[in-house]
Parts: sequence; C-alpha cells; structure tokens
Amino acid sequence: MIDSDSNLPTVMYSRIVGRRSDRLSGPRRGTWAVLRLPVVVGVAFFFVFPYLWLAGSAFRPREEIFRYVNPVSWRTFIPLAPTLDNFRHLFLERNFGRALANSLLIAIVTVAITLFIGSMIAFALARIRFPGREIVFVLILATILIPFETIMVSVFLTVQRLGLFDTYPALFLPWVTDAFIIFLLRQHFRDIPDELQDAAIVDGCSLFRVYWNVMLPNIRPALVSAAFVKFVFSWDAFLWPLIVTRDPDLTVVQLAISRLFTDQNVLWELIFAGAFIGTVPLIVLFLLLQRYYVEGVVTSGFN
Amino acid sequence: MAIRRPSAHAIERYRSALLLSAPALVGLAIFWYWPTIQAVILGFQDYNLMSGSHAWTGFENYQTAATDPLLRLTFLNTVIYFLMEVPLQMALALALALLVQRGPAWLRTIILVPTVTSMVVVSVIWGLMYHPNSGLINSLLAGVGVPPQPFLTSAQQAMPSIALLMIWKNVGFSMLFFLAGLVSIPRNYYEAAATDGANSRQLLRYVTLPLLRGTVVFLLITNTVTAFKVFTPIFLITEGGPINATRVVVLYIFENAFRFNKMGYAAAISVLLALFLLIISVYSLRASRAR
Amino acid sequence: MKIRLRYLFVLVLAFSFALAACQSDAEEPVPEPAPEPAPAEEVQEAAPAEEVEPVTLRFMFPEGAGRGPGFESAIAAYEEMNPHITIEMESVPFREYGGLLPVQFAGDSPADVALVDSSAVISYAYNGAIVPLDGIFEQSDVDDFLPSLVAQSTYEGSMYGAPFFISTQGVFYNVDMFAAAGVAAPTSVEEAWTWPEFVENVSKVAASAESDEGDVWGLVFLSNPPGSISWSLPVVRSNGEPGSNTFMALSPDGTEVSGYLDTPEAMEAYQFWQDLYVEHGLAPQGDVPDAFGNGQAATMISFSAWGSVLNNVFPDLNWDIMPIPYLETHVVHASHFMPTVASKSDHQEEAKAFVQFLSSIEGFSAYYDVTSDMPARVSLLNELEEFQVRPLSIFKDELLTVAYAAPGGPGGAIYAEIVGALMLDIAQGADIEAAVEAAVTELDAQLAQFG
Repeated sequence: MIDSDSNLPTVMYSRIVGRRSDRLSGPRRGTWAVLRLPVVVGVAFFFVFPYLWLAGSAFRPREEIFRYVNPVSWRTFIPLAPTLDNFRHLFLERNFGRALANSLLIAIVTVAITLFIGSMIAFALARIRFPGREIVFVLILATILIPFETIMVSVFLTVQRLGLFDTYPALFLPWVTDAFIIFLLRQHFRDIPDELQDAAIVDGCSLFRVYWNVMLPNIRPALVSAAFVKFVFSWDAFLWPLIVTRDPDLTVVQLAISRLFTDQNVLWELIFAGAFIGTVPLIVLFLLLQRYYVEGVVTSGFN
Repeated sequence: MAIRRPSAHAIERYRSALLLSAPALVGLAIFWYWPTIQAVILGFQDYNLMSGSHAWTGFENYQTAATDPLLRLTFLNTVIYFLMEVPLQMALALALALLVQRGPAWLRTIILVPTVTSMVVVSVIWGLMYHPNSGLINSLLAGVGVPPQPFLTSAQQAMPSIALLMIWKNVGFSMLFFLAGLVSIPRNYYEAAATDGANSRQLLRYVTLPLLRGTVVFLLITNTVTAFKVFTPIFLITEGGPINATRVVVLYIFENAFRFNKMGYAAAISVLLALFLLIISVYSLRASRAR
Repeated sequence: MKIRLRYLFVLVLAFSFALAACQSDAEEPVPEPAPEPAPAEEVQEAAPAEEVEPVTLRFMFPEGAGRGPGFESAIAAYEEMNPHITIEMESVPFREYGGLLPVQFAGDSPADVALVDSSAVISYAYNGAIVPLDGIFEQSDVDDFLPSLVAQSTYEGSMYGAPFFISTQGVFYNVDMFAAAGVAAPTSVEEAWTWPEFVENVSKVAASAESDEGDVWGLVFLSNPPGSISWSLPVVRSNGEPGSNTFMALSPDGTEVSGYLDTPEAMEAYQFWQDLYVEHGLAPQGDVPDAFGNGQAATMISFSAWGSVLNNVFPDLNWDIMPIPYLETHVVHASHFMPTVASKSDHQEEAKAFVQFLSSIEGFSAYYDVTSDMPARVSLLNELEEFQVRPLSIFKDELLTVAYAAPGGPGGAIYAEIVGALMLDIAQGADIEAAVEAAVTELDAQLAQFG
C-alpha cells in the first residue's frame, strides 16, 4: 500500500505501465489504471500552470511581460527574448542576495525553535497526565483565534519596549510559539500507541528521554510537515518585518519584493524574477524533505 | 503509564510537564496573551490609536456590534466563504494525498508550488486569468461555447472566484498533513486487514479514515479558523468589493482599526469572532473525542 | 539518520540563541533614551557655536523612483549647514506606506519627520499624531505654495504639512494611433475636450487601431478600474458648477455627503462613468498592466511623472499629453506627500527646522538637482525650464488654473476609501441608485463622529 517511490520519472513511467497491466486482475482497478495518467497530468497542469507563466516572465524584458497575455498562445508562456537582466539587476543593484540570506537565516532559526519548544509542550499535553492540561490546551488553541491584525499594535509596542525594534530577534521571537504547530504535534503524539511509552518507562527512561528518544522519531512526518509549513510562513512574512525593521541590512525577501511597487511604477519584471527566486529555496527544501513522506513509520515494535 | 506510588511519581510527572511546557508558555504569555488581554481591554474603550487617548465606554462597542448591519453582512460573507472553501479544500486534499501517496513523487512537489508562491504574485496572475474582458479562463470557456463571465467584477461570482483561488493555493498544505497522517499509519494494520480479505475501499473506510481522525480534526479546526480569518487575498484582490460582496469580518476589523481609527470597536469585533471560533473549536474537539 | 537530524536541530538552536545574544549586544535598541532636549525655543540662534548637542533625526518616506537620491542630496545640503544634525533616512515600500503610518504613529518612537499623503494630513492632525508647523512659514511662503496643498494641510487655522512637491494628472495618448485615425488632440488646457468629445474621438482612434494582437482599449488608468478617488472623483465633481454641492462632493464641515454625492448632477455623472465601461466598452473592467506602453490602449490617464517612466520602460512609444476632460466644470485633483513632524518626537524643534528647509526654495532645489518632480511653489513652477514647454507645461497650466484638493477633512481617509470603492463598483456595472445610497448611508454614519 505504501510505496517507497523514487523521484525518477523513468521509474514512474514503468510503474504506470506496470499498473496498467493490473487491468486484467479486476474491473475497478482497471478503470483507475486507465484514468490515472490523465488525472495525474490534469492535476499537475492545474497546479503548475500559473507558475509557468510566472517562471517565464522572470526571464522577459519589461516590455514583453504583459504584451502576450491576451490572446493566449505559446508566446504567453515562453519568453521571446530571454534575458537574465532582471536577476542581475536584483542581485547587483538591489542587494537581493542579502535579503535571501536574511530570509533563509530567519526561517531556519524560526523553524528550529518552533519545533523544539512546540514539540516539548505538545508532548506534555498529549502524553503526561497533569491537572489542568485540558485548560492549558484550550488556552493555547485560543491564540490562533484572535486575528493578528487586532493585536499587531500591542505586539509591536512589546517588541519596542523589549528593545528589539530593528533587530533580528524581533523578526522571529514573536513567532516561535505557534499554536498550530503545538496542536498538530499533540494530535500526532496522541496517535502513538501507549505500549511504546510504557515500555520505555518500564526500562527506566525519564520522561524527557521518552520524549526525545522514543516519541520524536515516531512523529517525524508530522515534524517535517510542521517544519515545511513554518518555513513557508516565515518566508512569506512581510507585514511584520515591515513594521519592526527599518535597517536595509535586515530586509527580507518579501520586503525586497514589495519595494518593487513604487508610487510611480510597478517594476513587474523584477517582481516576477524576485518571486521566482523566492520560491526556488522552498521547492528545493521540499524536495529534500519529501523522502520522509514515503518511509512509513520507523518503529513497529508493537503489534 | 504504570503508576505504583502515586505521590512521588505524580510530582515527578508534574515537574517534567512544567519544564517541558515552560518555554512555550513564556513565549505565548509575552507575545500572545499580553497583547490579547490588551485587546480585550480595548474592547471596552473608545481608543484613539494615534494619540493613545482613550475613554471607558463599558459595553458600548458590543452594543454597536449587535446592531451593526455591516458587521452582520461581513459575518455572512465570511460564512459563505467558509462554506465554499473548507469542505472542498479538505476533500480535495485527501483525494490528492491518496493520489500522490502512490503516485509519482514530482506530483507532490507540484501541488505544493502554489503554497510557496507569494500571494502578491498569485493575485496578479489570477487577476489576469479571471479578467472579465480578455482573461485566460474566458478564452478557455469561449472554446467550449460559454459566454464570457465577469468573475471578480461581479457581486455573485467574486466570492466563489476567490474561494477557488485559495483552494488552489492552500490545498497543498492540507494534503501535506494528510500525507503525514497516512504515512504514520503502521503498515501492519493494512497487512492485517488485507489478510482478513479487505478490499481497497474497505481498507480506506475501516483502516485509513479512522486512523486519520486526529489529522481530520486538526485540519477541520485549523482550516475553519483560517477561513474565518481570511484577509490577505481579499485585501490584495477585491478589497471587499464589488458592492461589499467580499467584505469579510477581518477586513472590517482592519478597516475599523487602521482606517476608521476605531481601535476599540475593532477589538470588540475581534473578541466576538474569537469567542465564536472558540466555541466551534471546543465543540469539534469534544465531538471528535465522543466517538 | 535519525540521530543526525536531531543533532542538526540542536546545533541550529544553539546557533540561533548565539545570534540573538550577539545581536542585542551589538546593536543598542534604536530609540536612544535621549537626554531631554534643551528648552525648545532658543535652539537655533541662541546657542553659540560651542557645545551644540548633536541630534539625530529619523526621516521616513515612501520609496519612489529617484526619491532616495533626491532626499539624500537635500539632506546633505542641510547637514552641511547644520553640522550638529544627522538625518537618517528610512525608506518604506510605497504600497505598504499608508498601512504602516498609523502603526508607527501608535508606537513609542515614530520617525521624527514623516511624509504623509496630503489627503491624510488633516486626519493625522485631528488624531494628534502630528504637530502644527506654526511659525516656520512666512506669509510670503504661504502665498507661494499651491493653494490645493495649503488647503489640504490646514486644520483649525494651522498648517500641519509642509508643501514640498506636487503631482497632478493628464491624459497620455498614443500619437501614432491618433495620427492614423486622423484625430487631433487638444494642445492646451483651454482647449480641453469635454468627456463626450473624448469618448467620441477616442472611440474612433481605438476602432481604427484594432489589430491582430487583440483589442485596443480607448482608455486605461494606472490600475483598472481605478480604485482611488484621485482618478475617478473629478469626473463626478466636474458635472457641477464651481461651488455647487456636486462640485464640493462633501459638506464644508466634512461631516455629510447626502445632498453632495447624490445630487441629480452627480447621478448623471455616475451614469456617464458606468457607460464608459459598460455602454461604450472604452475602458477595461479588470486590470491590464502595461496596456498603454504595449500599444494596447489609445490613451492613459496618469500622473505627471509618468512620462519619465514611459521614457525609461517603453522608449519606442510615441506619446504626448493632453489635459484631463470634464463634463461641465474643468477640475483635476492635485496632491502629494507632505513632510510632517510627529508629536511623539523628542526633537520637534530640530525636526521643524528641517521641514522648513525642505519646503524652502533651496531645499527643493537641492532635491530637484538630482530628481525631477513638480515643485509645490508657484514661483518655482513658473521658473524651472522643463515645465514651461510642452508636454509638461500642460501639467503646470492645470495646476495653476483647474487643480483642486480632493474632498478631505478629518474623515478624509474614510471618505477616500468608501467613495473610491463606490466608483469602482459603478465601473464594474453595479446598480447605481442602490450603490450610491449604500455608500452615502455608510459614509454619513462614519463622518458623524467628526461633527
């Protein structure tokens, strides 16, 4: 049921072909095998197609960007006079490299701290019985219910009063306690069978050891999802960096992109190029992480 | 957890729980609870954001909210958005998770591409695709003989158009969580069921779905909350128009706070929204446990 | 692998705490706990050359083409004359500027000097975020400033914003398309077309310019349909006599729009605005970026600095400018960002002195040496060469004869928001009667608080 798929398209192809021969084994499977390829292609097209336009535009000179939007033809997607000027301009004249580095650094730090402190409390909430834990959990959940726009000014004042205005910590400290992540990890900790924990405790492990050595490895897929989502969240943040930083050296990617909307002109060619580079690290990250989605549960020391 | 000597063990347990929880609780206290308490207090004031001057007004903001036709309208709009976005997004996410779990690896990545694409750029691209006079979608529709649709410029179609866009953008995240849930299901559960002669539909019904319950509850609650707090796409694309058709609660909160300079009223609406969501969430959690 | 992943995790964690620690060591929090400023009155002349406390002012402005270098040049000139003053520039992305301003004013230490859009100056003054600039302008200065800016920054008898630069609107048109269709555009403000004339002529041009590349729009704006009243409201106001309710579009005390936005003349103008989109199909109901630059539109209504953008981005385009059309009374909107001084600033006197310099002739000249923008002073407008010749002279003539401030007052921001959305809805085909009634009701309710 759970395939450990490889990335190689050739393997994929043989798999599809292989499945197709299953058709003989039963009618339902057969229909699926026939539908499968069109479904996969259709789904892929639906999700990737606006992005193709973005990617194509990143390599166009400005006067070409919107010229072929309508009527739609191959020219809508493929640059007629491809150029790297947009990227050159971003990196040489707008210090985009610094923004990328800042975003990367902040995202990594945010993710690491969030997962660490989030998984600790999630473990406590899911697997340790203590009085009031339901209330604590609901209180944590409650933090995702208030729209950030409402408390933004208060958080901004707090950051200013802590002396963090215009510093790196201002960019990640408010975000490292994430109720979504705590909630997600708690759900996954709860799904782990009790036998595992009991066995470890009988073996004399402390609760921290149970958390670190036994439980964390068992929710790796959830940790990876959480890491990815948090990374994307941190990467996309821009209202907050806009408010708490002024120093050009602290600029993050989304802020650098939003600087391309000036009051006189929208620098579309640079915006598309910036958005294109801005997504590449995330796609690479996901490609690196995605093997954790196919491995299946590590420990099966229970039955 | 085998408990032999309750007292000593229990104390040890509480201590561990406290230590493990402390960092997160401190962070929450500083950056969430304190500002939230302030917001709750603001709800009872007439507060001027810029000068900081304020006057206590008791429940006046809440009384205003009770009779504010715009609040009612924006709340209804938000409910409509929620109904259009969340069920479809969840169903699609589960279907995609099942598809890509067995399917090609690159498909997983492709479905996640929209989630990592900046909202600003997404709004430009979809704005052009939805263009009433010359958009791509209308070109495609013309190919099958459908007359041009107004999409974002029509009060009837604007909200569904935005919901579709957001499903496209967000479904990857939900799929990811379903995948994490699917992968966490121990392989031997399936093996056992298969040995008992279960077919694939029965496996889905009796093994996969029940074991995904934690994930489903998580996604249902978080997607609901996210849908009720929808703001950025609407702010970027329609700003509440046409004719208020996409004016949602958080946009209204934002307008009151930063444009109408009625921070106190904005805070009161936020408190009401949060209470509403809290009731829904707690109810869902309870319901999921009862079964 | 299990183990490696977790150790990596710990490593990053340790690293991040180190980072946090050294950051807060290295950089003291920006709002320096300033020693109380000297008694404000005798700052400038009273203190002899010895021992002047050095002062750092923070100056925040929205990013714009050439604005950074322009202000750098002005600041350099000022710092040279005032060695004890250092001015730090904080340039903020333009699109987010309007949203950031209230938040930063709500904070403990807003920038000492910030540019504020002229339409919002009175509203910030009303809310106590900025201080009156009394005493920094001579009467001769006030007489020299463009009246629309003075009007937009004066609240309860004091000016809160310093006129510095100005922007207004014109119709950019594609010269080749007009020539091909045999249509001659007006060449001076006196000859400006009325809107019906515009529709007739431009429809002809657009029809003759149809190509295989697709339709050619008659008219586009910077964004389509325009959401800001700068572009759309003059159409409505122009359908009233000068001084009439339709023309004012807001009661003089700024608290009422019924009887102003819903007069028969106004309703007629809304219908015309909708016809432009629906009936004549002259303008697109959704955005078409770069349509004018790409030759997909015959005309574009844009602001005065747009010409330099066109020259940069679409150097091959053959364009010219004609004045904005009107229905009965010729009216265009003129506005721009204005320097203001924050009431929470610890250095208000120094900040005011800097603002005074900016709005002086020397201040604008230092800026203009590097970046061309239209000055807010009539004397400079009549003096600087590029505004005496076409095409830019059209803007100058509009400014001196038919430019008015957008309706404003303490509720200006709310007014702009709701009326802007109304005009957008109408362009997209909304039922006019119902939309106007809803907007007027909401706006009257909102504006009542300023009574």
